[in-house]
Amino acid sequence: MRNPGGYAVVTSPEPVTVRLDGLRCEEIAAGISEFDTFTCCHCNCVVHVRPRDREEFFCRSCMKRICSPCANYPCMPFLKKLEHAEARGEALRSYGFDERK
Amino acid sequence: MAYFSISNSTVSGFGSSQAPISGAYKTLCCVAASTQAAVVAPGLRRGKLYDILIGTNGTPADNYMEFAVQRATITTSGSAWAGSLSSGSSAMALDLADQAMEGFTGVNSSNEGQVSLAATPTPWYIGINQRASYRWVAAPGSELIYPAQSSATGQNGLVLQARSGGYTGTATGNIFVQEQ
Repeated sequence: MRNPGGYAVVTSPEPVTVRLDGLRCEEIAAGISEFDTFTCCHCNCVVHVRPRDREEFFCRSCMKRICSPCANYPCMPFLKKLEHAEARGEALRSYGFDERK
Repeated sequence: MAYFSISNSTVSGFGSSQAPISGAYKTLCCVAASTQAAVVAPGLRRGKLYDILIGTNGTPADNYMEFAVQRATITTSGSAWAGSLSSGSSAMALDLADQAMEGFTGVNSSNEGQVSLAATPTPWYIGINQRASYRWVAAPGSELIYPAQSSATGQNGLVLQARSGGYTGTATGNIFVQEQ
């Protein structure tokens, strides 16, 4: 794939079936099998991409690749979710609730 | 930014012996934001998991194994964990000149009560034969990120877990983390 977001390699002494991402199974041959991956912009999940696979989902709001389960939901970048979560902790501390552990 | 390698190897200088794998998920490694060490204020730091290596070190056989990285609320108290933990430590640093880790790390948990899993999509999952090994490396910008928040606020870390219905030996896991 063009501009992959990562690289995965499976090393197996015999042909095996691998279940990738909890979404699909794939037969791989003995030896080394390589996959390109990308990380969903909305849920931060790693998705393994089949060689020559053209099926992919793309968010036209944040202009990044997303996984198939996120395809039916509105754009909410994962980094934005993180900022919201961190802001909540900051706010609690500013109110005097020292909830650090 | 400092880089760390967290392995569940018992020779890594911390952690108890590797826990046998069972049908329930066992935590191999975990990393979480924490103010426990507070080497440098404010303590809470975001982190990025950018490399995962998994495998087994038991007797070879044909068993189905599942490995997953999950978001979790991790109780960041060293005494609450079965294995000893290191925080504010430079033991896992890839470059010893870097600052010590601000976050919380744990390996080989035999008590999953310290890990409260989040009802969110599993960021990384693979089901694989016990004989195979696997490595994933993220390109810059595609890492798995955990937030800079405490366990009291919400999910504060990532755990690498393994389970198997048939395999009862031990599994190996190694994660590489960049602390912001």
